[in-house]
Parts: sequence; structure tokens; C-alpha cells
Amino acid sequence: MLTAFFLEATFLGVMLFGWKRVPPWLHVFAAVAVAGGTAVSAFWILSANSWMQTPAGREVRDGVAYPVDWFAVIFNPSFFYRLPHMLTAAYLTTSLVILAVGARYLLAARHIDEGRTMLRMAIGMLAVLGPLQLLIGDQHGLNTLEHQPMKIAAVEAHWDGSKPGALVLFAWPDAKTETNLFEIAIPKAGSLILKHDPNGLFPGLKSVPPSDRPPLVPVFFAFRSMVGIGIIIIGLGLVGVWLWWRQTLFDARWYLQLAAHSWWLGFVAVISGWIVTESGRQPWVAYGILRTADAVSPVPGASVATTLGLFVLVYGVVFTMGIYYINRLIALGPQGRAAEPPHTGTPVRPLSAAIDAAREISSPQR
Amino acid sequence: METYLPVIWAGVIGTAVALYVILDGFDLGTGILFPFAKTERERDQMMDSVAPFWDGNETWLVLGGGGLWVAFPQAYAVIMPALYLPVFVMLLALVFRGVAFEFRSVAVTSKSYWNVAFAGGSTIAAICQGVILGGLIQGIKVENGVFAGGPFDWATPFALLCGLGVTVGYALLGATWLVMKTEGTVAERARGQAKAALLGVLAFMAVVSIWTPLAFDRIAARWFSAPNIYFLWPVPLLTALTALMAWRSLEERREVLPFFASIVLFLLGYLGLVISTFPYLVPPTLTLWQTAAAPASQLFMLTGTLILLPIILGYIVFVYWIFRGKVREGEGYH
Repeated sequence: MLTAFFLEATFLGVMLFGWKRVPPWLHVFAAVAVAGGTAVSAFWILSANSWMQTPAGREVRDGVAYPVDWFAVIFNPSFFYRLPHMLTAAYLTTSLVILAVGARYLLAARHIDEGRTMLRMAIGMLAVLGPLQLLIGDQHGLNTLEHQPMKIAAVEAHWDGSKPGALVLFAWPDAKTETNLFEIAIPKAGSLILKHDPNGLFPGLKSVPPSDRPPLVPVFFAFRSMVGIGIIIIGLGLVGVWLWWRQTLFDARWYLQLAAHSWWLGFVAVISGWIVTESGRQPWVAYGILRTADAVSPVPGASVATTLGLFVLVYGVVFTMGIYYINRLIALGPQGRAAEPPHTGTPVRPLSAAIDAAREISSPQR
Repeated sequence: METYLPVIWAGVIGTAVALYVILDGFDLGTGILFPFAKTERERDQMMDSVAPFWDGNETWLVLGGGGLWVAFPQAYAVIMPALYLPVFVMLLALVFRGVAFEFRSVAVTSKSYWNVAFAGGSTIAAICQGVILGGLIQGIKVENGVFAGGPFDWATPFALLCGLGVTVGYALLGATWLVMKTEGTVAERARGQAKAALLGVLAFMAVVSIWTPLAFDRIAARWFSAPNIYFLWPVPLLTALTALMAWRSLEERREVLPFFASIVLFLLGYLGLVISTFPYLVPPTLTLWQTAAAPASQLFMLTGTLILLPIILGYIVFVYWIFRGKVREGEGYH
């Protein structure tokens, strides 16, 4: 994991600042090293997180978990679902940003060639990865049902395990009365999704004491936010492909308007998904081994509150300014060093060649 | 195995921390000296000289902290709560100065705010690191293997002195780095700053060398009892000689030697601290062996680390080689 961090951090310097110092092939290699390092980071981060969700390959002696089988620890049961789910989510998030920026350029009739390339790339990614993500998410859900049934029960707001689960579209899950208020639901559809059988049974929240249940409201609503956005993303991809096929993509202003405002969807979906999986595993830090309440360090509450406040403050400033600057860079558009023609006859910068290539690809349709 | 593994791990973590202090030291030092620059062009020059490296430099902190966590979980569980506030303030300061690199380059009207963020973040991070060091040296209250003190136990005059000392030390590394990597007014000013910082560092080292044996019996016993003193007397002598060399090389207007002399000075100071505290990870109660993770865990992680560390070091040296020589115009963020 640390190797990956080092790979990423070290070669980022070469990638960003090394234009004049290294030959093109080495610059490409640095970019690949940054990308590879990031993916390997994701591998290890998600392996560690998955182990906390489905702790395998260990034995507990005197309340401390000891590794027994490292292969089982790293490739634990939920890892092969969580990793592709997160990687696909990351690609979808990036694709949505590219889609939105490309659509804005086309709407403003600036950087037309770049905008069209961005739109095509993004729609291609969404159309393939959106439906794929639905499939991965479904499999991930089945895996969670097997290993963390209470997380699924909270997601579905499913109280009574002796009856087939409904697909609850909206409700306010009430922990006190152990019922759903204001419920709108499709009967038996929950069982159809989770057990692939309308009369299939899966555990309800009432099967464990309240102290073993996760907090219902965040899990329930975050899941609906994630899935709702997922469906919008699939729709954006499929409609985009349809328009592309009809060759009206670049004239459909309503679609471009929609796309231009969709940059944030991926971020919200990713955060929602993490809320589902992290609050859904409560009250456990390491599922079934260590309760969150028992993992608390001897730091006074006031210290924790202070640093939490500082975190909110610092990240508030950093993200506000970040979004402001990113917006300004987008408004400025591609220019400067990256878009400049090379000083010499040969393309010294890989990106200038890439831009030429992008022009060539998009020219036949002009 | 159970005897040697913790020692090897302590060596790995010690190396990571030493590399962190030296590498992030010079780029934090550049930030500490940032307010003394006169024009935006000079500030650009200073920032560009560290821009390709700082991110990789800070990764050593992750290895030091992560290594402590996996190899000595009990020490980690005591040190982090004891030094919770300085650790978190340091991390937030590092966040601020990290984004300052990016934001300053795209800011138009708010450039001056990010100058302050860069200088302030670097300085606060350096002070916190010194406070953490001081907090460790002076000892942590432990009962039954867990931290038993209050949230401000670290806040002593000694720890604050260490905060100041580390800041001046980083300023020395930053100044000699600028002497090596920049030209013109920036390098000229850095030469003067390096001399001032060198005197400051020597004064700090002298105070710590007198203070710690007087205040802590275990440190006095370590240095001044026979036979230790026969082996240890060259350490202060070498430190004095290195300081002399650093001063002379600055006087002679050498460009590369002052930086490396400063590094050696840092390493000698570091060695002195190791001699004072070994084998304690949490002075004065918990040793390497008491806080070590299960041998199976340590061995597994060590295998990976020992294979990968030389590779990492290899490509880091390679990247420094690519960016060797003086910083060129237009190599920073744009």
C-alpha cells in the first residue's frame, strides 16, 4: 500500500513538472506509474476496509485478532465485490465531470473539438460502466446479505424476517415502534431482488436486539440516494448513446443542458455508498469481533470535538476554494502550455500529440 | 526471532522518520522562510524548487506512522492519544500548506492568502513536530499499558523549546536547499538565513544536551556512566566538526556542501536522541519488545517492506536526479 503511495507521489512530480527534463516515453511512463500507483492504493485500502467488514483468516486470542492466513485476510469474502464497485464508481464519477465540462463547452460554442471528444468519451464510459455497476452492485448486495444481514435489513427497512421483503420506495424507518412510517412499497419486490424469488425470506431487523442494529435512517436514505443517482447515470448514458447513434447528440441542447448540470452526481453517489457500508456495519468496527464502543481510544471528548471542528473548518475552506478554482480553470478552457504547439519540430510533449490525435478523430464529423 | 524482529522494525521506522525529517524538513523549511521573500517572482522560485518533491517527501511520514501502527500497535495506541492535539494540528497544517501549492498557482487576487497559508502551514507543522518530539522525550504517563495522562500533558516548556528548535532546524535545511537549488537574490538571502539558522540550531542542541541529562536521570546515566562514555564522546565532537564545516562552506560560498553538512548535523542530532531513549518507544515505560506486534505479523510485513523499500528508494533517487541542478524558469505549477 505504501509502495503505491510512493509510486503515485513520486511520479506525480515527474508528470506535472518534468516536461522539459525527461524524454516523452519517460513522461508517459510517469503518467502510467501515477495511474497504476493509484489503482494499487485502491486495492490495498479496499482490502483493509473489506477485512473490517468481513474479517477472515484470523483467530481471536484474549480479545486480540491475530492473522492466521494472509491470503484469506487480503482476499476476504467481500473484497472482490467492494473493489470493482469502488473502481467503477471512480471511473463513473470522472466520466460525469468530463461529460458536464464537454457539454458546457458545446453549449457555449467554445473548444468545440475538445468538447465533442469529451462528450463521446464520457458517454461511452457511462453506457458501458453504468449498467455494469448495476450488476456489480446487485452481486455486492447479495454478498452483504450473506455476511452482514442486518446491513441489508436496514437498507430495505425490513423488520419481520418471517415474511417476504417488500421493495420500500419511501418510508421513515422508526426504531422506537419498529415499523416504517409513511411507507410506499412494492410487495415482495425486495425478496425478488435479494433472493431472486418473490417468496424468498431474508432476516429482518427484529431478529437481533436493538443494540445490534445499525442506525436506520442514514443507511436507508443513503442507499436510496446512491441507487437513485445510479439509475440517473444509466439513463444519461443510454440516452446519450441513442442521440449519438441518431447523430443528433451535439444539437440536442436539452441533453447538453442536463449533462452540464450532472457533474456532482458521482461524488454524491460515492459518498452515499460509503455512508451505507460504514454506518450499515455498526455497531461493529471489525464486524463480529470488535464493537465500535470498545475501540474508543482514551482521548477526552473535548479533544475529539475540537479536532472535528477544525477538520470541518479546514475542509470547508479547502473544498470551497477548490471548487471555485476548478470552476475557473474549466471556464478558462484548455490552453497554456498543454495546448501550445511544440517549440521545436518534434512533439516534445506527449499531450500535444494527444491533442492533435483528438483533432484528427473528431474532424470527419465536422 | 522475538528478540531481533522488533529491533529490525525499529530500524526501519527510524530510517523512515529520519528520511522524513530531512526530506520534508527542507521543503517545510522553504515554507518557513517564505515570508522573507520580497517579490512574487522570488516566491515562485522558492516554491518551484520544492514543487516536484514535497508530495513524495511527506509519504515518509505515512511510512513512519503506518509502520509504528502495524509493528508496535501498543506504542501507537499510547503515543497517539497522548499527543493527539499536536498530531492533529500538524496534519491540518500540512493539509493547508499542501493545497497552497496548487491554489496559489491558480489564484489571481487571493495569491497573498495562499502565501500566508503556505508559510503558516509549514511553520505550524514544524512547531508541532518539535512538540511531538519533545513530548516523547520527556515521557508519557502510562498505567497498565495504556495512556493515563491528560490532553495537555505534552505542553511543557521543554516541548515548546523543541518546537522552536525543530523549526529553526528546518529553516536551516530549507535555506541550504535554496542555496543549492536557486540563483540570484533568493540564493543570496538564503546564505545569510542559513548562517543565522545554523547558530540557532547549535544553541538548541546545546540546551537540549544540557537540559535532558539534568532533568532525566535515565538520559544522564546513558551518556555519562562508564563504559558508555568511552564510546559516546565522539558524537558531540563530530557534531561540532560538522557545524564548523557547514559554517566554513557557507563562508566560502559553496553551493552543495552546506546542504549536505546540514543533513549530517541533523543525523547526528537524531543519533543523539536515539542513544538517549533506546530501547524505549514510549519513555520511560514501554520498550520495543513490550509493544511489538505478534512476530507473525511483524515478519509478514517486514518481508514486504524489505523487498519494496530499496525499489522505492531507487526511484526516488532517480526522480531527484531528473530534477538535479538549479531550478529552471517555468518548472513549477502553471
